[in-house]
Amino acid sequence: MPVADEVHRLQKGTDPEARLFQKIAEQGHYAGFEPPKHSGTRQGTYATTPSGVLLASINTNDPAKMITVLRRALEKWETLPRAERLLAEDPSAVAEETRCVRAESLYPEGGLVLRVYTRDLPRSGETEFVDDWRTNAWNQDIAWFTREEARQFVPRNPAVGQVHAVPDSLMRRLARVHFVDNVRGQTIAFRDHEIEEAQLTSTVTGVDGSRVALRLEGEVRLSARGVWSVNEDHDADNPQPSERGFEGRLLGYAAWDKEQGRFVAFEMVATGTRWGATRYNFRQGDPGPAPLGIALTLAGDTPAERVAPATFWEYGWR
Amino acid sequence: MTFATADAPAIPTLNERNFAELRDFISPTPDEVRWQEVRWRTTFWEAVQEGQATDRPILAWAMNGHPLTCT
Repeated sequence: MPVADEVHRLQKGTDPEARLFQKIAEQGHYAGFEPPKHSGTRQGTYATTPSGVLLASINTNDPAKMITVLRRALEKWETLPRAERLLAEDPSAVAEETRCVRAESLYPEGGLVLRVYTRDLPRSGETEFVDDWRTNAWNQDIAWFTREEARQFVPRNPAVGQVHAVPDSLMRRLARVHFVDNVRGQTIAFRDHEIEEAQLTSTVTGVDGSRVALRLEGEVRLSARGVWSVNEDHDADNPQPSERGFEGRLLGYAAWDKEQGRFVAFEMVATGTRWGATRYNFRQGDPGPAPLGIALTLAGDTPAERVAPATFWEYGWR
Repeated sequence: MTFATADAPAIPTLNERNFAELRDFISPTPDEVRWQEVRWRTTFWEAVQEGQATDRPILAWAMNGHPLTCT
């Protein structure tokens, strides 16, 4: 039963789901690890019974080590009686009001949901990480727009040649939350005052029945200065003045269906320059400036694509 | 695509001619997303319920940031 989930909430929460995870994690590879001597994370892969008996755990992306762990887990599973493997009470009977309310409950049905990919663009010259995972790193996220917001990407009465300015509020949110350097690891959104420019226009290039073809063009510039850690927990107690940013141009193509009231095609690329580092984005030693690419494409409707954006709290949705 | 130096990156000029190439370069390859072929449940509790109902072990991948979005 494979499951992927966000660890911070699970290791800090007090609801039944989090408590069960904590019970499992405290039998595992980071059991008892707490700051300042250790990181407090419980990241990793846990093989467990539904009742919370740990079968095996590890934090690795090494396939060989993972296979060994999985085999050990299955061997232990086979030794456990059913009564020990399963919870005494049916978990589906856990009262709804005791459960955590997830961001996914606000998934924008009928809206615009985009996959967002980030990757370093090619650069020559000496780089420190030629044969390191960081050279080929990429990351992903999800961007959400409600049905009403999606409509605002399109002119009300589209005609070929018409140029429409996408509302500032939508473009500013997209830019500060999603045009970030998370290629090598998580990073934080920009603040609103750190947006120097964020504009996007849609030009109607064709109208065929209910289908409206659009060309998207824009520019962004985000810039932040302050004092923050740039090297995980190593400089957390002694952060130094830092800066970071992204400046780039956007180009995209989309198709809006007037009858369905939704986008049936959407892809956009941003290319530009990133600079700086943040605490967990592994840019220490590689602060740039250097080229960065961002690609946005229409997401599907699978459960995996309904997971909320990584920094969803920045949306301010309730 | 134009290559950049660390001091003065030359960003490829984004236009309709290189749009597809850049989109494909940035987006993950099929090999890079093979792990997404696994039918990952997206909440731990969903897996607990299903494991309980089917008497099967759970494999929970937990990261800072949901593994199916941004970590």
